[in-house]
Amino acid sequence: MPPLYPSGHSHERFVRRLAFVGIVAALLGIGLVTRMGWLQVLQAHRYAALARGNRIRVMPLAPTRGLIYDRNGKLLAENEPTYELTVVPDQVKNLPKTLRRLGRLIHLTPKDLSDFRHLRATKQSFQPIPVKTDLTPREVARFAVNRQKFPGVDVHAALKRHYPKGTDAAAVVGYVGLISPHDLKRLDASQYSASAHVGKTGIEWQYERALHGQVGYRKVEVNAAGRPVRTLSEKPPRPGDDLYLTIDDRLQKAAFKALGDRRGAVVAINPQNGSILCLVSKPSFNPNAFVNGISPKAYHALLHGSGKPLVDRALRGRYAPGSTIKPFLGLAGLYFGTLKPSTTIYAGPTFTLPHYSHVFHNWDPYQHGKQTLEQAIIRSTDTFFYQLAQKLGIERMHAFLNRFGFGDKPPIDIPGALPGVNPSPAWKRRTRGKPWYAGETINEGIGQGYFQITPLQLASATATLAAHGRRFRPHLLGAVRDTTNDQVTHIPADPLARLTLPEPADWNYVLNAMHEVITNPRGTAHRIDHGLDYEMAGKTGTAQVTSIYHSDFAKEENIPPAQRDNALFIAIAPLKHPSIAVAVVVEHGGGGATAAAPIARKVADAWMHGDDKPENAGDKHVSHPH
Amino acid sequence: MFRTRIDRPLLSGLLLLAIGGLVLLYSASGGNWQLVGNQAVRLVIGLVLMGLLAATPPRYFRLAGPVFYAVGILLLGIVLVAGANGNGAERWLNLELFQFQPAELMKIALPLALAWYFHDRSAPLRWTTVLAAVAALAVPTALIALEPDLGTSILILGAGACVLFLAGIPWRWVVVILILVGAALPLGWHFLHDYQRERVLVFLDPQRDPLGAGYHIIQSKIAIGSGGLFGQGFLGGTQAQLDFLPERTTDFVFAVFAEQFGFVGVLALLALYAFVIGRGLVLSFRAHTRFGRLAAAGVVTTFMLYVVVNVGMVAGVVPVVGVPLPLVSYGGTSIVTVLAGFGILMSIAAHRRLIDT
Repeated sequence: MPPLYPSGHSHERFVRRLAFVGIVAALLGIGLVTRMGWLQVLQAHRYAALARGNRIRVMPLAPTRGLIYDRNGKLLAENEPTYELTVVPDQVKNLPKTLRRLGRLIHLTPKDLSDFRHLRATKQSFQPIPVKTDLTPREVARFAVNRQKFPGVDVHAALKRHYPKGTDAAAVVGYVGLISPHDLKRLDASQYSASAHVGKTGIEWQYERALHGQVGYRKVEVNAAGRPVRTLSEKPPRPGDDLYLTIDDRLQKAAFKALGDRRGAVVAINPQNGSILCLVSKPSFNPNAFVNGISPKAYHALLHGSGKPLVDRALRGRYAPGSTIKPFLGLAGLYFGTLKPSTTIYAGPTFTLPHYSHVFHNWDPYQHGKQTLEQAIIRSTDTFFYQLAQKLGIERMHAFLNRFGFGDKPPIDIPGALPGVNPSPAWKRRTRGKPWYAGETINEGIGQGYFQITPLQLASATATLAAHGRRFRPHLLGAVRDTTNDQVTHIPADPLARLTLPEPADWNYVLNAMHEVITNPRGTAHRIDHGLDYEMAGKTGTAQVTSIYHSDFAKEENIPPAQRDNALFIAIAPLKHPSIAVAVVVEHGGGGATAAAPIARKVADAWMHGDDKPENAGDKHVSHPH
Repeated sequence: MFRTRIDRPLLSGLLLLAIGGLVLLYSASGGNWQLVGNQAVRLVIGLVLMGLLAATPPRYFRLAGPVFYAVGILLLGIVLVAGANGNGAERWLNLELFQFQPAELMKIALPLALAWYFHDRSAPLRWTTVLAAVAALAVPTALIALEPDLGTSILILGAGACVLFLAGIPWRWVVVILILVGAALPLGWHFLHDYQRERVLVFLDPQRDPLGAGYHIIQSKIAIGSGGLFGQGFLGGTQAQLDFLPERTTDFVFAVFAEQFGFVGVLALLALYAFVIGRGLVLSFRAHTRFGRLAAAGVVTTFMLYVVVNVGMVAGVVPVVGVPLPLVSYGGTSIVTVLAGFGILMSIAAHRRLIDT
């Protein structure tokens, strides 16, 4: 048995050491208390804020995108209910693995995954991000069965943009697409925090602000898993405005159908206010393919494929106006006093500039005799306009045609319109670094040479002619409806500087000549006169696209399509109080009379025979007399 | 007779902690009565065991010390070879009726064995004696660290080292051992599991992995800090109630307490622990045998290390090593072992009084 009472020395040492342990314990205790005081007293505010941040989430609520209608209330862009598969990155432990497992359940294409990655870069990690949109009912059911195996993954009902008119209105309405990080640079990121789509082209791009609406917020208390426990407060989103366009779906359809498989563009404008009644470019594309992201391959095919469907020919196609420029040049002659309605000029089969060897031909080699401007317009006499151009000179031609908007970028309310070329010596020096040659002026007299117009410019200039010089900004937006209170705001016509002639009667003189282009048996567009039950004015144009000059005796079908002339036509109806001005361009269509004029007629027919003439419906905005 | 063997101040402190712990568990578990009931059953088992041990004469503990130690080493070896998997680490021995953690046994066995060893080896100690004691300490520490259970191995190492220190190893050796341990740290780092290294790295920089390993520390600090001076009130607070705080009924229960009762509550709780520790040290000081003093001090320092490491861990000043808050954290073996330890302490204290009277 060891001693019960060990030596005092040993005990003293034990006591000292126990005291030391006690002191160490006390110091540790003081250390802990200090730490707790730091956390709970000195830093309490900071941690209280962090705790709030933990439990309170502000979930952005996406506004419903505004609808787009045509002038008669026909839907051009709507929102379709759809199911989408979403992932909340915060709630997923292993994202790549979850996506792989999801892929076994619901087919995920590489594009789905790359879209998801892109969207993820624009969203916060507690927000649901779509992985796959447009789930089929079968896919929804398959996921629903396996849902508990995928925390953080869910199926949501969402709205998806749909364009019921498909290709018909693509050039006008444009399309929305998934928001890219690039888009976020120009957008207010907070406004788009809940949105997946943004307008990329056309009206969808131009009126993005109005269409998108304003984001709403829901403050929710969430648990650690990120699941909302209760709603603390909510500010509902403000839905986007509905837009009423000035275009008429029936005209759009008529133009689209009339163009058929040919490439070209049709633009119709109401001369009284500048509202665009139809704007068609062919070939077109299906805007619905872009809504949830188009595959790079399909996009490449559209961008570079046959006919380049993504190029809006109405706004960006540049064509020589050919003879459609003649009424405007005739007006220039009258404006500058170069000729009078009664003036006659000898117009033979050819024209030659003094001291020049080049022979300028008339399209009709049997042409002989003196002609007035009226006759020259009716028969589209080249040799008459060669002489007029020579007398006017390029500077005056340039200045006058510019008053119609040629050479300027049209101020239309969708992006992408090109200015074309209204040539002048200054322009040539600037762009080519070469002086202007006299022979070039002669070519401009029949709308050849450097002259380039876009179909929109041509329609707009034709509308100005129809309205006796009154000009309006060409526009597509007719009215805006605030969906929160159903208040409709009409967009007033926006007048531009008016063009006045010294002799106002000259307007009607030229318009009557254009009327005879159709009604006169010798008129170049007489063949569309048949069955016409309203008065229409027009002018044909056939613009060379190749340098090879071919005689009109050559059979058109023997010329390869790519070398055939571009066919153009401008039309105005009705003659007395014009409500529509049309410009038609058919690429490589051949003669303007045969290829383009019938299209203009069909579009005008659709307008004139429609139930709602501009007087009684649709055209809600009033023109401002100038 | 039985009444006299129970140290009433110590018992009051322990009961206050344990019952307060049950109330806190009710709040931390989100009103889970079953969980509270389970813990209450374990508390009763622990109290009964404490009473039985307190009534046992201390000489039996001295004799049992080396036996417990040997059995503990054996079981730790078995666990390493064929342990049931629990939480990724092999710590548990499945004994059909209940799972048993040999490491918990070692928490009591090691101080007893060391106290037994030093009982008749008084200062000045020979270097062979010290070396043998260091080895007796190193073996279970290493076995438990290999399980791997870093927290428990640190507790055992700390408590054992404390017994060695109290047994009177010369200061210069203490310094030498500390230097050796310091030199061995980089080597130890090499043997750590990846997740353990990650815990240490995260401790140094919680933002390193805020949703992974750093999540515990970040959320725990938010819970404590948002408690403020007076707390969010019982059952209040959002960190615990909305599940942000992980392991809130077990290792991180102190953060729940801090969130609900604030700095004032924390001071009260730490004072209660200080009282229990202080009372334990006083009892150890009063013990009349060398074994009794060392064993009692070993039990008390184990308990103290529990508290310091757990609170330090929850407050973000010690790496997350998985140590429960004694008497409060949910979990069976811990509360029983702690109360058993105090039972032995009471027996030692009572023995002195029996001799005195």
